[in-house]
Amino acid sequence: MSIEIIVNALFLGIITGMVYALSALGLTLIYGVMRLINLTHGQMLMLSGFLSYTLLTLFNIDPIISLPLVVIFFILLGFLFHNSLIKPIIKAPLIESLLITYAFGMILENLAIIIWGVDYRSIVTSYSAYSIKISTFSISLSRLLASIIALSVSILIYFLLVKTKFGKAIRACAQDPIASELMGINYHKVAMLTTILSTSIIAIAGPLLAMIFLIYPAVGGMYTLKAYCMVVLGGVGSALGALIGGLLFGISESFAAVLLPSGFKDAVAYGLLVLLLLIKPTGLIKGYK
Amino acid sequence: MNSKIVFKNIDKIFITVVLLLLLLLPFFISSYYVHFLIILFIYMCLAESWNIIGGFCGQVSFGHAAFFGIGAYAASLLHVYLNFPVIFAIILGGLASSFLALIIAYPFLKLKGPAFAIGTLGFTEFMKIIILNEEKWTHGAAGFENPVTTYLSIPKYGWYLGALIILLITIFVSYKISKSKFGLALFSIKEDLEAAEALGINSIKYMILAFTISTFFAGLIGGIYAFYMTYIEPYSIFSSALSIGCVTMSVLGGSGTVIGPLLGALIIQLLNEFFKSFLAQTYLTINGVILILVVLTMPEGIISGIRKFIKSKY
Amino acid sequence: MKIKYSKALTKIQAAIIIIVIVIALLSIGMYYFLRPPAVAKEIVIGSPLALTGKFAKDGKFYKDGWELAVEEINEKGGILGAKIKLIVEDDRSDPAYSATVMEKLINEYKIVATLGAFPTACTEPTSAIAEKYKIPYVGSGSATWSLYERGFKYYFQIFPPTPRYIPPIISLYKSLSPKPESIAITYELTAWGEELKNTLLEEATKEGFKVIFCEGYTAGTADFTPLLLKIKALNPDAYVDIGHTTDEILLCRQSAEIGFNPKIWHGMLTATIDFSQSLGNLAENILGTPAWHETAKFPGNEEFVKKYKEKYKVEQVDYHAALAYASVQVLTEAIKIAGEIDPEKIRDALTKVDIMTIVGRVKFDEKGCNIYSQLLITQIQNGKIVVVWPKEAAAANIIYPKPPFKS
Repeated sequence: MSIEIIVNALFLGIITGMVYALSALGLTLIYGVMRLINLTHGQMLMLSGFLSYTLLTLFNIDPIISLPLVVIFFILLGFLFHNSLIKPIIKAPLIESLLITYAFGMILENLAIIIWGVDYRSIVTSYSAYSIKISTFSISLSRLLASIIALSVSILIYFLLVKTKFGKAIRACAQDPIASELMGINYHKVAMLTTILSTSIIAIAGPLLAMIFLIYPAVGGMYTLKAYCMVVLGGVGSALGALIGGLLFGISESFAAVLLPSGFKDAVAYGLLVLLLLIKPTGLIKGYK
Repeated sequence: MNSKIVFKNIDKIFITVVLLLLLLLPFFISSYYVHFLIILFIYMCLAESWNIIGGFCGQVSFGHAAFFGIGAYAASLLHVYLNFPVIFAIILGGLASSFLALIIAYPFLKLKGPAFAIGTLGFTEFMKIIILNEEKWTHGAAGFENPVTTYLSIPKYGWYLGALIILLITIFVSYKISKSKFGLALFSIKEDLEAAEALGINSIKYMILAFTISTFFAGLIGGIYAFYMTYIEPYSIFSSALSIGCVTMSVLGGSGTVIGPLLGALIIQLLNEFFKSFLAQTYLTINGVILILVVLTMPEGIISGIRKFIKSKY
Repeated sequence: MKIKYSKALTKIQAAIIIIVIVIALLSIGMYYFLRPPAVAKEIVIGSPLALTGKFAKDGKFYKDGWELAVEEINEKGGILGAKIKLIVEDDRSDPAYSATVMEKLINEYKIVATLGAFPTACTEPTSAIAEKYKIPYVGSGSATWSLYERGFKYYFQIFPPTPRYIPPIISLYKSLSPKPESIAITYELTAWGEELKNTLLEEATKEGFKVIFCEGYTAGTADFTPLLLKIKALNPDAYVDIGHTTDEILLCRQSAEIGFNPKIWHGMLTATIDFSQSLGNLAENILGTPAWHETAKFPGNEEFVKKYKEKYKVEQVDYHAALAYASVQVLTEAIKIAGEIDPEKIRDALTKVDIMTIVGRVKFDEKGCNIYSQLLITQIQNGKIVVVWPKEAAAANIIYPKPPFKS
């Protein structure tokens, strides 16, 4: 196994990992603040990807340029989602959030099938086939762009969480809802805004993922599972953990595909998760859980 | 307590009548309906067995399909390569499932709650990928064929009985657990883990036991499925949708009760059949909407919802 | 939470139970009464089909192909004076449902023959059921060889079996000069992919080629770059992928991205407009192995293509649709030979069928396999898909070695 392949795999893993990290970030926010497992995560990523795809094929808007549009749509969706489905089950047993969000995910998937059909689609832009070559490494331009955007947004959100008042409110609510209320923070308002923030992040991550991978209605389930693996890997409840989990996940997937028959690639990722759950169930970074 | 009593011990009479009906039914209805019932029994058994760990004990497992699949493959491999007779193969398949469950039980159950759910979901996918790539014995992606002679050598009624018997045993075990001290311990773990531990219940031990029992039946019915369908392949067997389906059926009907999962399975199968003809493209949506409605209005499931409703009237 | 179980039955509980029983009976009743009544002088055939779910896209092609064929036949007055009634029911791409639908079709709708389900996962149980009830099964969607090995008498399949895919590939490679020495293979982890891979591996090694790489991937993999990097490092002369169009589009694009330029880039299902359009220049000189192509010179093919495009408003005809249409051609021929609308007689007639369909000549051997099924090898030249092998069917010569990808 030559150095070239290993370095290429590492590089690829990091690039893909950054987009993964963004999607994991969206997920961990909801879990942290509301202790809810959101199984709709993957379907929403799929939907935002499809939206971007449609804007591209119908109106020829480049997926990167159409991101703000998709985000606006998802802000609205997040608002509706939170008030109709999430709010009733915030304090309910875990299984309810699992089932409700799973059910909603099914509905979204069905919607996608009706609108776009079961086919696999890919986002093909004028620069899709173009790749950047640095000595022996070549990376496709769209992938590179996607990861740069993902990285920037992740950093932005991280600063939001750490430096701004809003971010502090989110973290306070995640740590202790009751204490936060006593401190004057309106828990429910923060919860709603967190959901909206989460869906906005999904709105950005989805099209980016679509630029790298293929989109089809059934892809949602896989995205959700992988996102959870990343969150658990990095440490439940920690934003930094989600980012690191995402990166690690991307790298291990990439290496697995190179070192093992690629059919096993997914198994390695899950296997890693299982291993980690056994050794350190709280994940790599201790969060505010 | 109940002032309007129609019959005493009606339940024993009722159960006998239902059993007789089920035993004789295949002789009066067409082969298609017998097939439908066999498939229904399989789903009911899956829901009922899931209920033992998920409903009684409150540990939501999304890995039930994995154990269904393990039982299916184990039984098939034993039958084809080692010539085990069907019944033994099926029983050993069930044991294989429990055995594997036992191995992963301790570390997984220690996680509890959401991590357990995600972990078991990952396990289902993991099993799928392992079998997909295992080409020598299970033929991986090509799927595994059980001899058609086996399927043809046993009349339809035989398969019907087999599925029914396994289902009945599952229901019986579930019932016995629900009335026993073991069951009480499980329920208390579900209600409040810390309090149960404080009372001296070794929660991990009970959870592992429940998990093992639950997966045993999933494995058993997996064996029946494998021989009856004559063909199993990783995508449809180790399917996370099936795993989640077990949870859905159980919760819909009322997880934590004995007949809840049966009702849930029945409703979902009937709905699927019904909507297949009318609104084919939207069955996912229908399932989703129903699930949402049930969780929002009757989170304990239909049976519990009905019970509460009755109690509130008295 | 109370676990009390009262042993006695209250009026309310009795009422609920009665309601549940009534609902159950009503739904069973509805099935019986909503069933379409059997009309005399009708040839009822049916199939479970993937109209929703994973395989819905191809499922639609089957439905369209079948319906077009049945329509044409009925317009001409049907066969033996009876019209054909085709019943297609959704099986959700799920084998268990497929089996249930097949049982329903046979026992409730009383079909006399079936055009089969697909893909293999659904073909397996449904053909076993058809065999049990002695209903002839004329399939057009499964290449898997093991299906023929079950000793079934009622199973017939016109789709080329997996062993037929390989000979044209091997004969083509042998004819090239300089002869490609090393081959790298990737395949999708499905029944079809695996069987083809095994056959290719066997035949290629037998004919003196060196298979230096062979790995499977799950269909729908999003990223093949690590896989392709491994292959590129080994520098094979020929690269063969056994997979479906969408994966092959990605494989091709990512091959170009990493600069992987083997002398032969050979996919299975690249002979589609999707492939050439979404890849543009990158699709040049890519080989494909379709079971049928629009330009194949078989009788009736041209009219079929024209009618299909008109009726369904599509730009190209998928080979599944063509095979579906051909299966109806075969079945109606068998019914004519049988002279009677009887499953057993139709089955016997199928063993005697020998006709030219739009996909070529069809005649079954004792295993139900179509002796004359064949595959073509195509290449994309100047944006157009042309048949380059076998020589008798070729419209152009193959461009070999393949020039490197250019954007």
